[in-house]
Amino acid sequence: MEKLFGVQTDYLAYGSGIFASVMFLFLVFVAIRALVMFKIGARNLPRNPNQTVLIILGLMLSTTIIGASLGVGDTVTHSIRKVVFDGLGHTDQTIQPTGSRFFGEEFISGEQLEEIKQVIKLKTNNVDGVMSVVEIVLPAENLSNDRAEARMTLRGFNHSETYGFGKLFLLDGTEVNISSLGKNQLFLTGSAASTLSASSGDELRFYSTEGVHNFVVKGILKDGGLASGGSIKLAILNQLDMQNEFSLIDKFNQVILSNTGGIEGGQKYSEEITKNLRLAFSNADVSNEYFNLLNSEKIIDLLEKKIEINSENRSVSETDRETFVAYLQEIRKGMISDEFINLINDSGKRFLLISVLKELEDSLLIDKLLFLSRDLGQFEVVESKKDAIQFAEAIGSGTTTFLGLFGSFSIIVGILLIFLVMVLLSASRQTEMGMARAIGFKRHHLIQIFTLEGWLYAISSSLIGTLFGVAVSFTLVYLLQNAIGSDDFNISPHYTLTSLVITFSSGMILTLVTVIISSYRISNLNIIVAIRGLTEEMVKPPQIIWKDRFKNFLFAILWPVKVFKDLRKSSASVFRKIIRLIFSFFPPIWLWQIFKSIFSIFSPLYRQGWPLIILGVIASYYGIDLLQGTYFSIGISLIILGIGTFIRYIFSRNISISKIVNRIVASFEGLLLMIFWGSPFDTFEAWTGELETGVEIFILGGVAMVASSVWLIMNNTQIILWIFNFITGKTFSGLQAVFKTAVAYPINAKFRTGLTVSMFALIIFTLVINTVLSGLNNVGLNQPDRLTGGFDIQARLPKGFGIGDLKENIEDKGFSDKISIRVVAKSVNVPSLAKDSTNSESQFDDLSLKIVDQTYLDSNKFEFSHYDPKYGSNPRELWLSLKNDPNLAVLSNDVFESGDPFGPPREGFVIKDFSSDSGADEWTARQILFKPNTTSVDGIVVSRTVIGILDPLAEDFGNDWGSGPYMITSQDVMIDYLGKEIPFDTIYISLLDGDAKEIVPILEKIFIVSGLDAVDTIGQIENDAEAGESFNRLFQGFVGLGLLVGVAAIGVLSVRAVVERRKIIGTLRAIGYTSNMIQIQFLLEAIFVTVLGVFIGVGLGLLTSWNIFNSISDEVEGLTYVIPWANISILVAITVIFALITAFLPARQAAKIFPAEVLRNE
Amino acid sequence: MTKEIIVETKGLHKIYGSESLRVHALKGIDLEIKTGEMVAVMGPSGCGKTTLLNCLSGLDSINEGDVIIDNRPISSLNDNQMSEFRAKFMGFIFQTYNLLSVLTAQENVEMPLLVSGVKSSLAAEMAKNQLQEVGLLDWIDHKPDQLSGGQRQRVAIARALVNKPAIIWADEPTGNLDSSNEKEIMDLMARLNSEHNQTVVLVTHSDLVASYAHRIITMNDGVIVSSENIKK
Ligand SMILES: Nc1ncnc2c1ncn2[C@@H]1O[C@H](COP(=O)(O)OP(=O)(O)OP(=O)(O)O)[C@@H](O)[C@H]1O
Ligand SMILES: [Mg+2]
Repeated sequence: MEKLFGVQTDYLAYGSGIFASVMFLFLVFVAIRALVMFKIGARNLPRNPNQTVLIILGLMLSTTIIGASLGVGDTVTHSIRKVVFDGLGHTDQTIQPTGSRFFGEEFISGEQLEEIKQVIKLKTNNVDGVMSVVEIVLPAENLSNDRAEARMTLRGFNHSETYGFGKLFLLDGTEVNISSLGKNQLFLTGSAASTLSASSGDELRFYSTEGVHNFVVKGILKDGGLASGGSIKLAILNQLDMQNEFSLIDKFNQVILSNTGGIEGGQKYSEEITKNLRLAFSNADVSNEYFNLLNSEKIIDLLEKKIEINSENRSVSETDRETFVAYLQEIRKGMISDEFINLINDSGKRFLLISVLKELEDSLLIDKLLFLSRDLGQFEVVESKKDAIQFAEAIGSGTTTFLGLFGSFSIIVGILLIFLVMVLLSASRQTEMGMARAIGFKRHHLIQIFTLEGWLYAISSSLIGTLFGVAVSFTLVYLLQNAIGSDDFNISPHYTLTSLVITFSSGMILTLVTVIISSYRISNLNIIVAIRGLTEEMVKPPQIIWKDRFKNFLFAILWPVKVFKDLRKSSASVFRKIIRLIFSFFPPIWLWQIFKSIFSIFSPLYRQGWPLIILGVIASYYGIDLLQGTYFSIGISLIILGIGTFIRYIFSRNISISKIVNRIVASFEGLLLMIFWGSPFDTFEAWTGELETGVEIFILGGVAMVASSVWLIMNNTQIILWIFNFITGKTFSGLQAVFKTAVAYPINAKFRTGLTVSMFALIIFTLVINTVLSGLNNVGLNQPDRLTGGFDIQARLPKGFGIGDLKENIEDKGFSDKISIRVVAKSVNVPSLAKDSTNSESQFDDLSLKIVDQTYLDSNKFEFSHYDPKYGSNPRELWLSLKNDPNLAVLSNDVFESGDPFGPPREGFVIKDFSSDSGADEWTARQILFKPNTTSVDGIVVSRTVIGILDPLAEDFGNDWGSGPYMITSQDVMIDYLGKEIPFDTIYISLLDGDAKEIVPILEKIFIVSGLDAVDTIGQIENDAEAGESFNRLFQGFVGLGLLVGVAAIGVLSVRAVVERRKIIGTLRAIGYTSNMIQIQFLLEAIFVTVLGVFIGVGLGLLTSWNIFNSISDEVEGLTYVIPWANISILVAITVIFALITAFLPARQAAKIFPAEVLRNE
Repeated sequence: MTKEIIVETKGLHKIYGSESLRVHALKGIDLEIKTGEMVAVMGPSGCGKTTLLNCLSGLDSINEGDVIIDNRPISSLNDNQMSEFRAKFMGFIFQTYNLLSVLTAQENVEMPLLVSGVKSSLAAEMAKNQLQEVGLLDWIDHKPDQLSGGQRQRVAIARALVNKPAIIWADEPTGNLDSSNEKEIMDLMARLNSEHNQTVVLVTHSDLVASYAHRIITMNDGVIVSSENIKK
């Protein structure tokens, strides 16, 4: 991957690497300066090797999760890159006639070919191969065995041009040569040969609009070199022979260029070469005209607005922004430049600009720009390989970002574990630490000891964590292989050095920072209070000595002066003094001092709560003002916490009631925060207006809800005890004794328990949401007609082919016993531009026109999300209206903004003034105008009345124009709009009986002559669902890593509990506990903590998915909220079982404790 | 009144440690304790008092000889039977109290009852009564760290006595207490001993504590050197 979170991975690697190294060196420095402390800290590692291993394992998990998400991203990138390299071979750039984008087939003539070659020779360096290509795609049949393929790619090469593009080898390794092909002979690549099951000597037949063409297979080629085609089924022919056979004399489809540097290395010249060629081919007059059109304040303003980084531009991707910046730079120059010509001749960038310019609502400008586009250059130069590689990069970093986003829960949980481990470590050292303080160690000595010890753990754990991360990513990738792997696309595990550096460094930074922070907390011996319970912390505010604080602040501003002053009195060596003085000038240290002193001035105020309230009010005001949901939510949370803190502060003087007040206030804080974050997404909309939120709100909300509910429960543990006593009161009293202690211990160790419960809750929360939501997708599988419209098979015909009456044809060919057809419907897509005539702001924008025949209107079973009741009250009636009145139409559901923060930015025609969550029958018919999308200069504008919006589930399997909004209307439109009847190219079949999966290959075979390409729609849906399911598994596996962290926490807690409670275990044995009861008690403790976390996680997960469901179900009718209890039970069972397994060993140890041994008086 | 013998041992040996570092802690102890007797075990530090107590009560294993409690040789009991036996038949008091810090006084006292199968409502009732008997009725809902040392030891005594055990083992029960608390605790124990006719075996360094006993056994270096009855 080259980019992550919009930053170059190289920079991330350098940045994190340097930061980690600085931290590392700083600690080396500390270690050398405080060698004694380092030795004391380091001594602890070999002293208890088991514990050391456990700690390192605990600390490494965050690193592992980071490593795993990077590894998966790397692998995805690498795999797609491989596909690109396999498919393109040596081709780096492609030159094609400009018109082919607008008018379909257009060719390069022999004369032009010479011209192109000349230009390349004169204007470019580093091109080591130029080759003309003739290419057509045709249905093919192997006459030797009846195997057929609807889309066989035929490429004609000229042997004399092939230098630089590699060679051809037969499967057995012998080199062959295109000129060795006789008339009507060809080579097949491996994938083509296996599809047709062809071998040398087989006779192939191709069907074109002109007739049949027979060829003989001369040999089967090894992939690669000149035979690179990736997964496409490729036949390689002698160019001249091919041109003759298919009447393509003097016609070439494209010219391909190979750069020096081989298959992977050529890319670096691509930009330069492409630019030079675009300049050479460009039409100066048209370019100038283009520039003049763009050179306006209006456009500059618009582009300036687009490059701002704010919520409104959320859908503007990083690369788009770069493009806008480039345009802006060139336009601001005030005169046309080579750079500008390069930009507008890049069709992708040109279309991007035009699509943005639509916002100016100047349709004349757009029309002119589109019109001029055709004449910008004689040929279009495409950086084929670089574009494809960039796509690979985008997918790879997208995967990592997605995993990283959800992995952040696990990473947070991992950090909590590090914290927990450090706190427990200090608990086991309490006496030692007390002794150390007693014999004169200062607090910072303790910090040093812990930090340095933690440093050693951090180094080892980030190292091991990185290795584990690689291993885990490869395991996950194995799952991914099942998800998206196919014959055409293989996943090959990969890990880059950059990712290794990022993983190791960021893991070390995270671990070290957590270790340092916890060392600070630990060395403050009040931590003992914190371990026992969180609430007691705020009881006694320290005395405020304002004068000193301000004095410190002044000193901090003049930090080096203070150091100098202090050093004069100190007895340190001159060398040390100088070093310290130099260090004091070091900006981070200086700033840190200033920051610290400012914080210490204000810190007593934070305790009073009101600064938090003010901060909260500002944040929420800002949030409402800027429509930022995140700020608003943070603001409200701060206000709640601020009020709580304020009330605590007021009562803090009165010790007797402050404890009760603390508990009540804490409960209210927890409750309010939980209610706030857990309420439906649109609860506050009436008050705040619709706020924008990003994906971060999901993470923030999850953490906030979990934290607040744990806070609430941990402050009301009596209630849990009460419930437990109530339940267990009815059981055997022996068991009750065990229960009592099993619950009492965790409940009294609020801090540890709260932390561990939060870990489980966070992870289960994510998994439950995932499970519930992925269950929602299954609505498609339950009601397939809503997706397929009731059509079992959908088939497409290549341009120029027809099949006449399908049913009759089947009968004629004698297949009517195998295929029994109920209905055959037809359609054809015409790309168009459309505009909502009822909305004055609406601009012409892309909308594909799907023209359907009468049968389609009669027979389809698609439903509607919105409709005008005047035209019918059920889908059938609405379709009938459409049939009876050719002036009516319906729109696909993606004409609405989706509002999905994970979704891609939507493009094309949009309905602005109708909300997708309005009632189903609230739509009123409106006029939509449309016209052909090339240019309207000579086009006509037609209108249709839209009476409904399709169900969002309705799929358009054969839509060549990719996903995007479309409009369905009857075939009368052809005459009005296009002035002539055009042939249908898509066929929809609904079967009487029989299995579509089996019928599809038979159909394709029957109609091979027409190149019919059919899909079994239900099968397609099932495949998609299966792929989605596998991706879910990958996702769950990844998030499930977090469970491992929680389980590790249970293990650490159990081990610690056994150590701490040896004497009590002995006492219990003396009272009459059997060793079994002791073991059960420890296991129950583990279960209790786990189940508490699971319980919170499941509860909050269901609540959140219910909220998500509600906001989706407004738009997708027919969704039902089903709680997948089976899945959730499995999830809970797995979690509890793993926790039990982890707690088993420590519990056994506890059971084995020999009472007389531990009961001796110390 | 002839009293039954409740605890009996002959030729009791206890050896700690492995081959390399062997400590012969008990070197042939012969001892009989009668029902309702209050016996104090004294002797210099390290002479084997705690070891003797642990071996007699079945908390520790024995190398040679056997202990017979209530006509039952404890060697015939397996670990679970021994636990059950302890739950119903014995109470323990330790120098460091060893209360469960996470439970209230009452819950601590309930523990032995629950373990031996008493219904929880009854257990609560009995625990309350026992705490009243040791004078802590007002403190039943307090946790150990909210109690003074003397109070904690009284909770521990209540815990040891609540299931009306036949024998109470106490290893330096007043070792952590000042002399006024020591006297209070011993008055309490003496009273309970005489009221319920429970057997008490206690280890102590304190002459005051020993003065409450019916018999003082003195040990030295793993053997009993004297055993004298105290006339009151
Ligand atoms: N687990 C053990 N392993 C080895 N030797 C032990 C062990 N426990 C006790 N000892 C040794 O056994 C001897 C008797 O110990 P014991 O604790 O019974 O003495 P004590 O009379 O109770 O002393 P104190 O009055 O100090 O409590 C001592 O020498 C002691 O060192
Ligand atoms: Mg002793």
